[in-house]
Amino acid sequence: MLAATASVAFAPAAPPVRGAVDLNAIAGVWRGLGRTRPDSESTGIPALDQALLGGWPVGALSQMVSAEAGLGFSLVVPLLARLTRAGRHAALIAPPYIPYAPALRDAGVDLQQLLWIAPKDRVDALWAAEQMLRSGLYGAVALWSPALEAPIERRLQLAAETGRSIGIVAHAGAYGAHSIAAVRLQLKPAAAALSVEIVRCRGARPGQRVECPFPLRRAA
Amino acid sequence: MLWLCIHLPALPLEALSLPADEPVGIVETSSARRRVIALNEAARRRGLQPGAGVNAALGLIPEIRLLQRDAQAELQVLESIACWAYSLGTPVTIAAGTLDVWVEIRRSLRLYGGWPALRQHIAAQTRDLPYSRNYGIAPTLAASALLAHVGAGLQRPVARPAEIHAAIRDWPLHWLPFEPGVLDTLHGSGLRRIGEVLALPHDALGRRFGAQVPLSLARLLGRVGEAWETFEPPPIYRRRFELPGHAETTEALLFPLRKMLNDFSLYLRGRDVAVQRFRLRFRDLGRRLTQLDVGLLAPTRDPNRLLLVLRERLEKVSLIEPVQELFLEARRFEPASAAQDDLFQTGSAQAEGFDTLQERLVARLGADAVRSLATTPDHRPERAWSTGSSSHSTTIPSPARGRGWPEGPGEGRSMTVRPSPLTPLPQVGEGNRSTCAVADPCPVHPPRPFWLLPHAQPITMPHLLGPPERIECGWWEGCQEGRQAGRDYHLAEDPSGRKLWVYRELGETQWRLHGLWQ
Repeated sequence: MLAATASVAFAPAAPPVRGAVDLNAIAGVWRGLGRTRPDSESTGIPALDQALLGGWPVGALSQMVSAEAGLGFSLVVPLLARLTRAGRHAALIAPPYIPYAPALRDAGVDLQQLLWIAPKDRVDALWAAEQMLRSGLYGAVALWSPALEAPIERRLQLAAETGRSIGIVAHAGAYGAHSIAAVRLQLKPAAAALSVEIVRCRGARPGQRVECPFPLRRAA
Repeated sequence: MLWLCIHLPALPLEALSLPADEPVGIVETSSARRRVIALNEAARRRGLQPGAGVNAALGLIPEIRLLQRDAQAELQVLESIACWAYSLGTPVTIAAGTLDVWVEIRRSLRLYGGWPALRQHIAAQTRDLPYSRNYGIAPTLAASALLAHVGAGLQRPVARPAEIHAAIRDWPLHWLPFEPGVLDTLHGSGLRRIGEVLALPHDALGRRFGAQVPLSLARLLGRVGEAWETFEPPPIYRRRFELPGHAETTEALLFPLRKMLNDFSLYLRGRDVAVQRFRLRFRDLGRRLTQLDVGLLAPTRDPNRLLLVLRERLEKVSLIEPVQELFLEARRFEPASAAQDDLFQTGSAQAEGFDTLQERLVARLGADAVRSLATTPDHRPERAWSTGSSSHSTTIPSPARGRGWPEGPGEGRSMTVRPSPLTPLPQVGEGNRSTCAVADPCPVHPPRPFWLLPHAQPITMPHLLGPPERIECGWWEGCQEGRQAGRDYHLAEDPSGRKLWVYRELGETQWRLHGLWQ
């Protein structure tokens, strides 16, 4: 294993050594900063994509925390647009406000592929999120919920892994102490932009800050 | 004729859904003697043999659960199997007393082109049948039943009447379909094998035992024709199931339900139909009936899918008292789609998985909690969207403005004059074109926020970022209520920097928050 690593690292152009291991196929190998993760979906914002090594990780949970409810939806909409127009399904679970159909349509979201789940209580919301993530039929599932307890978060993470789906959990309030989410973002409104602090991103340097421009795009 | 006989030897036990881990015996009362006629694995392991008396059974295993044989439940299962047997051939007939189902397969044999292919088909069809069974194939009902009872299987079919004699002569004579008294007498005369009985002169047998015995031997060998009553699947499916114990939680109902749904799917497969709506009722100890009407997005006959939907429905039900009986009823059936038993589960499989998930979501969360979004051709922001039932969402295409006067009351109203903004809104953030570089097919209005508040909230004077966009209210509806004729919408910002969509009604000073951008 060590020998194979060395041969690839120091002589990449050499013919493959017998029994050589494809390092890219091994999940746990640190590949340095600034690479892109192969299994991620672009956020639609180049600066954020770069900071997140390619975008939203597929088959994992991402967490968005903000002081105000609903902040960060504009980061999710481009993902919804791309997935739904590629024929995949996406779901919004327990959003704090009404996802406004004309705006979503104008942003390119195929509304036929988008499901809005309005459960009565939190238990139902979590159940629906787990089922949809696990099914593998939904490209992305966004859940608005108060901060998740560790066992619940693990369940959702496993479900996302099983279904190869993008799980996005947004919650308003204080930034929680611990989370196993692959990507953790803290959002703050800023002048003409949304300020995104990358608290954690698997494989990337934490603490980066990205200004996502306010997504107003045309006048009339 | 060529009959396939399906014999269900363990049916008295299997017709009742029983726990596998405790010893259970089925008791039959015949001529004032109560005997155990069937035992489950747990009881047999303790050394009890079928045929033992009740006292002997209780002496050997004191905690054994003894249940009376339920002929009604057995008949229901036999009928389900008979329904399913229609997929192998026709006619189909059943004998409840001997637990046999027959189906005529001569034509299927020709259709499948020989024994190996037909055998393979039968094996594949019966693979997930949850009952232990034996097969016998012979040109007469009696001979095929005899072969099934001795466990001849599918491997050695008897195709012609002349071969019957050779196929059965070596079996012990107690397999002959005679009264016990006749068998005892034959045994007492020193006869041991069927062949020895067949060698006796028929008229002598008739004089000794009555005309019935030589007649049934002649039928067995195919020398005399047999009569049967053709089984027809009932047009309405109705099944009652009595639980051997009482189910105190809905979770405990799932096991018997799985069995019921398996039988139901046999019926559906036999009639080549699928079901979209059915009704489950259960009666508890207090004789109360609870009714669940189950509807599916698409017709199906997959028992697992039916069970998944029922499970979600049952989770919502809380039982007041333990449940005693279950009733399943279906009155309407839909033609089965050809894709159901697709050889290569391709495209339709994912779509069906999607439907299944959707059904489970609706079953648990309620139909109004699972919504699809659509736009509505109305310029008033709170009316420009709508939700639909998720199963058949219809997105109304972007409206062409200027359709003239509304055709009538209702949702599809469109207003001709929607004033354009007084001045174009400024571009906020220059680099954002690439952010949402989506070519909109019909740019009809200035950008709208992604979030809309269900009810506009009064707020204090916000920091306005752009010129107003005037949106006329529905004066043709609102004038009676004394509402103002229009609103001026602005992009605004609150002290924390959050982008707001606010408006002020014409002639008012109160600002209201209607949407959020980020």
